[in-house]
Amino acid sequence: MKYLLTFIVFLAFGAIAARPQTPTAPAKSAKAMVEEYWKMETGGGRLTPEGWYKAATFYVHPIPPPRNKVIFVIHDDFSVWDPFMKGNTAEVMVGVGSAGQIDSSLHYTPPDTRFAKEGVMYNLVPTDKHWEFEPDGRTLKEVTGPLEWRCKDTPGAAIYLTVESAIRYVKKVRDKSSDPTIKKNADKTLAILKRYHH
Amino acid sequence: MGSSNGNIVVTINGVAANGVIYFGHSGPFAIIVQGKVLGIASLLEVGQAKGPDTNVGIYNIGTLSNVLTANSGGNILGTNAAMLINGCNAGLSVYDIYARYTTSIAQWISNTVKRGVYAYDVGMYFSQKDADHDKFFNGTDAKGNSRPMPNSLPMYMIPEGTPGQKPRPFGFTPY
Repeated sequence: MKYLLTFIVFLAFGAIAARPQTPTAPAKSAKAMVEEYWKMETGGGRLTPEGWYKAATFYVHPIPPPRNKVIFVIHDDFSVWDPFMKGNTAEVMVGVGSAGQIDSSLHYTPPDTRFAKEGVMYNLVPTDKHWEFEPDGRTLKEVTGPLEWRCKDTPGAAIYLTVESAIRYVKKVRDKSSDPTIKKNADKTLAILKRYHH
Repeated sequence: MGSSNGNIVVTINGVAANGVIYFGHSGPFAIIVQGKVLGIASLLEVGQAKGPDTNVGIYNIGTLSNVLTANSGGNILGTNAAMLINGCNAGLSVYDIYARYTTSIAQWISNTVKRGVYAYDVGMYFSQKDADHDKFFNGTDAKGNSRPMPNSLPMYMIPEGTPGQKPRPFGFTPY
């Protein structure tokens, strides 16, 4: 009887130990998520619809690609800062130096001289739910998966590109376009961006 | 002044009896969400790189308090010493996102090092004339392009403003 009781207790502990553990923290840190996102973002990952939809998993509430994107050109030496925690929200800043903006007609606007440096802020929350696009690119479905840090800000129309990625983007849009204004703007913009590109 | 391993480092040989003069970038740091400026932080931008420890801001100002004990337990800045910040807008009061009230990095440095700090609330530019004799309003030409930097001495860093009536730096005292 004594041996049987010991065996039952052993089995009970074994069953508890074997039960799958619910993760209490995301496997990847909030800073690592932003670093990964920025590598993709600044290389031009969100310029194509396919890339935009793929990047949607970084956001809690993604949106379809905007008609008019605004390109924020930045220097290569951006830096992802350690997060500030506010409750369960991780504020992650990316320190950048602006090299200007490019609108949808490829018109270039110089950087705001009031700021020598800027910080792009992301507010991340841990969640096991997010929204993904259906193949039509418009409809969203809620998906449950592993716990991950995701950005609770809406993506918006701002896209950050390094100078090199911006040059590639402007050349590509210029070569595809038949609009003389876009071609003229592109040539002016490329001349300015090449001065930034060492 | 510099930064190392996340700490702000003020390198001084002996006690700075008369004070410290800083030349470099400073001013508002834009905090952007979705491409729009959501907030501002007042910074001394000591380094050119973009990491947090390349700046002196309210988020890391505490590490500057090492000057209070660097002189055998006493303040390395002499009793009558003050700090002059030759940098853009270091004395400009902004609603700082880290302080969560209207203030400037000059005021916070003064509070931290327990000495007076002088700083400008306007932009600054280089000239071969001092602030009383320079003939320009700022460092740009009529088209808004930057004029070339002087390539010989003397060289002064002077505040933007009407020639002959350039603003003086504001004085900040610790509280």
